[in-house]
Amino acid sequence: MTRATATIRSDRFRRRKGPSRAGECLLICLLSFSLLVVEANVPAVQRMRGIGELVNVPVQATVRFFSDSFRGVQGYFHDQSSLMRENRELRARLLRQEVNLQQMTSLEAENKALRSLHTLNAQLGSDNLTAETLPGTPDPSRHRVTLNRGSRQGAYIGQPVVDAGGVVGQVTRDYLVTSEALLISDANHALPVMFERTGLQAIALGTGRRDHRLLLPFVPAHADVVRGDTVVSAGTGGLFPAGLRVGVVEDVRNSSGQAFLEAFVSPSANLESPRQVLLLRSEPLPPVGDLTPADEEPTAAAAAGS
Amino acid sequence: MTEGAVARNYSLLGAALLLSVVPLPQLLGLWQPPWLAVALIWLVLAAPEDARLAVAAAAGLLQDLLVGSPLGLHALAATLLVFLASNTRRWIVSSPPWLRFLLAVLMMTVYLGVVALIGGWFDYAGSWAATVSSLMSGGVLILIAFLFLKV
Repeated sequence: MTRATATIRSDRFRRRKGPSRAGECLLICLLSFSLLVVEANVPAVQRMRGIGELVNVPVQATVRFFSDSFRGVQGYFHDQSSLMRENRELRARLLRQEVNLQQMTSLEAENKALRSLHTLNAQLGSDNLTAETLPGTPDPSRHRVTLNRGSRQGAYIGQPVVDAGGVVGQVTRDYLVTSEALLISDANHALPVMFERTGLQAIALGTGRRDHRLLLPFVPAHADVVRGDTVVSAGTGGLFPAGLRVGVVEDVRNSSGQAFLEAFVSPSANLESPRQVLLLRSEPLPPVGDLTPADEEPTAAAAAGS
Repeated sequence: MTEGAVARNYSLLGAALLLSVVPLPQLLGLWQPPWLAVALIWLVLAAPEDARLAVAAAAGLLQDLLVGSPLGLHALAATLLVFLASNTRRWIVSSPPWLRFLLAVLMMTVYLGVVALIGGWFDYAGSWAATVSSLMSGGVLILIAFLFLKV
């Protein structure tokens, strides 16, 4: 009985609102579509969106609180033996890395001297920005992450993102306190790279695949590329500094009769679930046209002075 | 409808929005249902008075902000979904369970199709594989929802 009256009431509700409801739907659809078009074309709206993204902050804090506490509960149930084993492994790794670090300081000094010879190479600055990833964009086919640093902290569009393993991606959107980074494995990403062993240059394209592999097309068929070769960033794109680890060649395909071979690279950075990353503050390179005169002027002055 | 019921229905939408940004492991993430669409269909069937188009648009806009999609994309899809669902509500309610299920899946197809197609124009590329798998898990959720929903 009550159900019947409820149906009648809702029917009456709809009949009264019927025609205007279609109009309302059309209006809202038009509005949101024009919002789409406007946002894609007007940069000012994208800045406004940065303010809207502040909604995210409490939401992400909540989600993170729950996922962290879930992880905490999981960790509680780790038995002691596995913890001790992990501890032992970590100690061993720490020792190895301390030795590496000692070598590192001398290498860094040597590296600096070498780099100063190559004026073109952008230096890895010391005022880099550490960032953490935030929950968001759960669609695994889109290789993007949200970071907890925004334009107020100094993140900017095009900023290289790396982690302990190597290149992660670049910042594509800088909101006020968060930013979005495109991973190198996204199908829209391309990165100039170099084989560390041979110095051969290539382009690493993201494939958008779930295993985050990169594709290096157009490697000359006679090139010396084998499985296990390390691939580093070439530094020619003007965005990423040279020499950052990108990945290791996993597979080389050479179909006979083709002029080029294809290399597949598995990235060395943790692209599956990046957590702690570093935003490099490399000096944005001036356009190539401006570079030479600016460089030549001081040398000319110095030559005149001497 | 009492005040409490209205608050409960809208907090359901909020919960769906929250769920849509919960990080899941890779394989599970691929099968993540379109939470907002599921919640909106539920809302239309359980409380048609509360399922206003403006509410759907606002929830969609929030979803856009949360997942970083172009502004207005999910708002458009959610509005269309609620319009479709509330106009076919009478059929859905009076049809046998298998037809209800099919109709609900059809509406979610429209929702996900709008997101994938129009999103594609605005540089928000998802994959069709992810769309299809999330559609299937959304259908299963709706099926479960129908077991509890007496309409």
